Amino acid sequence: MMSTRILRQAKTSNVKNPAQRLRVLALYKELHRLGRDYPDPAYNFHGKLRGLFEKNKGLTDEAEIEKAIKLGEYIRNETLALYSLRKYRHLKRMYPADSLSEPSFEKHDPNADHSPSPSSPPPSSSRPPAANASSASIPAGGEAMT
Amino acid sequence: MRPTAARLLNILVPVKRTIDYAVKIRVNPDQKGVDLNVKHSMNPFDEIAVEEAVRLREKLKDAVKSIKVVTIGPPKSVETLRTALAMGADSGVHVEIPESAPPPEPLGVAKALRAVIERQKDGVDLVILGKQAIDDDASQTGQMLAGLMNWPQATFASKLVVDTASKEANVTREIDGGLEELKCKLPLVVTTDLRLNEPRYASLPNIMKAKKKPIEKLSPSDLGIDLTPRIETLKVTEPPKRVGGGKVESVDELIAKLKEAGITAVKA
Repeated sequence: MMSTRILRQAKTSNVKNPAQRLRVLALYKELHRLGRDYPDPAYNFHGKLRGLFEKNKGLTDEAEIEKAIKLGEYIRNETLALYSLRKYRHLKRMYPADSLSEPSFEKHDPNADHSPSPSSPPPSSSRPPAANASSASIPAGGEAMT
Repeated sequence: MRPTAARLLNILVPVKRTIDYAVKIRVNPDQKGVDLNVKHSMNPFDEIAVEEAVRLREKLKDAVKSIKVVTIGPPKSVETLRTALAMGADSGVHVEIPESAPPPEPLGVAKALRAVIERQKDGVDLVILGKQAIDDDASQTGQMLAGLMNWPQATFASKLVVDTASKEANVTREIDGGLEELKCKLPLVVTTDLRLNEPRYASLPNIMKAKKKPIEKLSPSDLGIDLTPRIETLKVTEPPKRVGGGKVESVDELIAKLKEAGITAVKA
């Protein structure tokens, strides 16, 4: 398992506050599991997670460790919010309030979704300006740019 | 002797394992189906249903005696049950069909659910399910189940308030042009709309706890039902590709382009 190295390091180092150590490990496992569902394949979630935890492995001051845990929990909450918002926005677009059961294939272009899928080109200035721009898909693409 | 609590709710939440909402669907070369070798997860509307049941318990506390989740599907569907258990359900029922079997149709599912309900010793007071599945978008199972059970139904619910004392529920429904409020007697079938609630994410400790919760395994023959499809899929195709819009420089150009597209002026 990914976190065994972290576990071994944690065992040898700070044993001052075992409860805190357990919290750190639980947080790491939780973030690791969350990272599996990250929508952007280009973003190295697990690499960054590992790196950030390893950067702080030498911390000994309880208050500092607490601060780092709080930051980790903040990132976990932000990631959860990202996932639920993304899902909600997608469902809202596919099943709008004004048209009961029918999902709206016309209104939503799956290629212009938030997650950059390898098949759809990014709607940036890479397209030649003289060509007919795809007007309807730009609002959704614009959202993806932020 | 202390009188037993008279009005306890037994809630049943059917859930379905569908292709994950974020997956890009690809039609198979034989044009008879879609690529199923992709990520699957619980139907989002069913997540909302599970969440609603859990919130009802948080609100009504001990008045909710049990929250049971049920799924009809191949062996892998048990993962969907585990997710529901991690969200707060108490136990699960897995009506297992073979991996190679065709996906069950809404009428078959409704009949299976009726059989499951009739097997429950304590009965079922409330069935909450998603309004439709994102793979077939049938939006039929809840309605068919209510018909088979001869129960009232409140579909596309955006708000659910249950009064256990009077065994009634006030349901606000999303309809064309606004909202409709219904008062229904239990037992009742409710189907969930998107705006009912925001489902929780099952945290790791809850997922671990869920592994200990019981899941009963049944087969369609145990329930005495036949899930043979009655509908034959003739062809599956992708919707026509979006053609980019065009910008025009003047009104004359607009009219010229409209004529090109075959749109003629309306005769006054």
